[in-house]
Amino acid sequence: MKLKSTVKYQIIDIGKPVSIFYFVLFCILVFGFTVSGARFVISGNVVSTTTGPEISGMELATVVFLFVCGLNSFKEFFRMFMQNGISRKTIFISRLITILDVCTGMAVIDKGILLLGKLIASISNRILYKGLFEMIYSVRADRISALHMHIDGFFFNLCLYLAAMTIGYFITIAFYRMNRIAKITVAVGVPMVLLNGLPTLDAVLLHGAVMRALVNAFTFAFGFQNGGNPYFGMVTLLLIAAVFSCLSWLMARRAVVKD
Amino acid sequence: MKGIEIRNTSKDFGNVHALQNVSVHFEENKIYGLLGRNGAGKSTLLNVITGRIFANNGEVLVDGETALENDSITQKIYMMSEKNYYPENMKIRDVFGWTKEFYLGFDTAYAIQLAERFELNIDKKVKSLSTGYSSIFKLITALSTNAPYILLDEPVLGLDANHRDLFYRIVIEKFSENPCTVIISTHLIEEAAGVIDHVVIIKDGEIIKDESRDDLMSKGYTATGAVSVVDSFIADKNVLGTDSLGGLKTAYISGALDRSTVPSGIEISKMDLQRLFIQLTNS
Repeated sequence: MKLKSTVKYQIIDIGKPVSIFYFVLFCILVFGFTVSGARFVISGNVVSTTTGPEISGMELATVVFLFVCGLNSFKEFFRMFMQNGISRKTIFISRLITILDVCTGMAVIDKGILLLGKLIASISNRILYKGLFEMIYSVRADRISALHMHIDGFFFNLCLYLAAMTIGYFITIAFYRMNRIAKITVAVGVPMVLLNGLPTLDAVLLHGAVMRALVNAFTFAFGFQNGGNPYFGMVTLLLIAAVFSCLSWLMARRAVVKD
Repeated sequence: MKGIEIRNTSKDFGNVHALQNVSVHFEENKIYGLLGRNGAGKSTLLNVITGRIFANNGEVLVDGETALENDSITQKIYMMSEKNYYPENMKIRDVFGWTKEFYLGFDTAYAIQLAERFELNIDKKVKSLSTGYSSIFKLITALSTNAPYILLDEPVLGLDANHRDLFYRIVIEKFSENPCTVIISTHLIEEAAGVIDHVVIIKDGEIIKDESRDDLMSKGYTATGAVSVVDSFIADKNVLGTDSLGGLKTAYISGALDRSTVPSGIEISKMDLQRLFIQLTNS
């Protein structure tokens, strides 16, 4: 069975970027901890100086990284595997296995980094180090035990990573299948509709009804009501990953080698 | 049935009919020449066989099994393409290593030996190779897979005369030691003619000849002489085409030769494959 070799190839291929990613992350954390005495604060993408130094939500960087990896994971692999007589079905299944392996591995590493960061923070007694889960579900995180929080956080991150990578994978296959005109139309049209057209239409004609509905749907899907239920979020993210994986298969099954 | 069998296969690209109801059988352990002019449908046919593109209709069977999306079948076929489908930053050494992962019969020692014969530095990256060496590394990979069916699309693209000669010798060596089906799609017919057993000629997406080289050659001849003499000689014959130069005319004739009917002033010679190809594919 070529599945094992196909997964092996992809895992090895992604190994180098992952190593570089964690090296950069490590440097950022060292820098963050080193200058924390100067009240340098990193809070995901939000900077705050109100309390003690805070480093939080570093997993967001992993989400972005995996999304970008997803975006770069079709054309080259597809050509290489087709050259080596691998069927589309095997390519697709091996990709899903690779996504699962990589996301699990990075969720484990991130959890390790989080625990290490918390340890250093507790020793310093000045720095606050928080994971993405604690940021999103802060009310719940305060209520449950540390172990429970870390287990929930691990699975939440895993689901988030899976969703990010499968979305990236779908986008790259969809673009691969499109002709040039369709690519331009989608690349320009979708952001315009989502960022300009829909909000304007909503504000002018519907008095914000669409935005309210979206916020309500988002709140429900991620379990933000009643103090926050992360299991809603996990199920939602898994559903997103499943839907985009199915859509990716629909695209990949008829993909052809292009010159 | 052993071999690659293509049944009633058609493929359109927009309004272009690249393959039109093609049916052909590539038997085991033969070297085929897949000949055709630019755009005749050679690469399309090979791409359909390997499932890189989808036919509009028809099917491809390999050793009696459907080839499309069948890993156990695609393992039996290796296609060397004119284009490079390996990652640009991969070293040739790594290409060999990974091919071994996917084609279990890949002979790394043989690949390295061929690389030495072609003076290919296997520590170079794919992107750093010239057109000729890019063809060479793909050829070496193809010939080392030991796949039962090896498809070579324009294998001598960019190769100098010495390397082309070496390639044909290696194909013959390889075939005599370890027979397999080799399909060579090429424009350089004269050179390939010495290697191929069987000729498949494709024109405008249709197979117009599918015969052994010897049969094909024995079914035709050329007659050269003065224009008037040749014209009268070929009047009742199946003429594939003619060339005229000054007062001389050469006619390419399909059919058996009855030497007793050849008038004086006409010189009869064997038809060569390239001449026959040109006559058959001239529109």
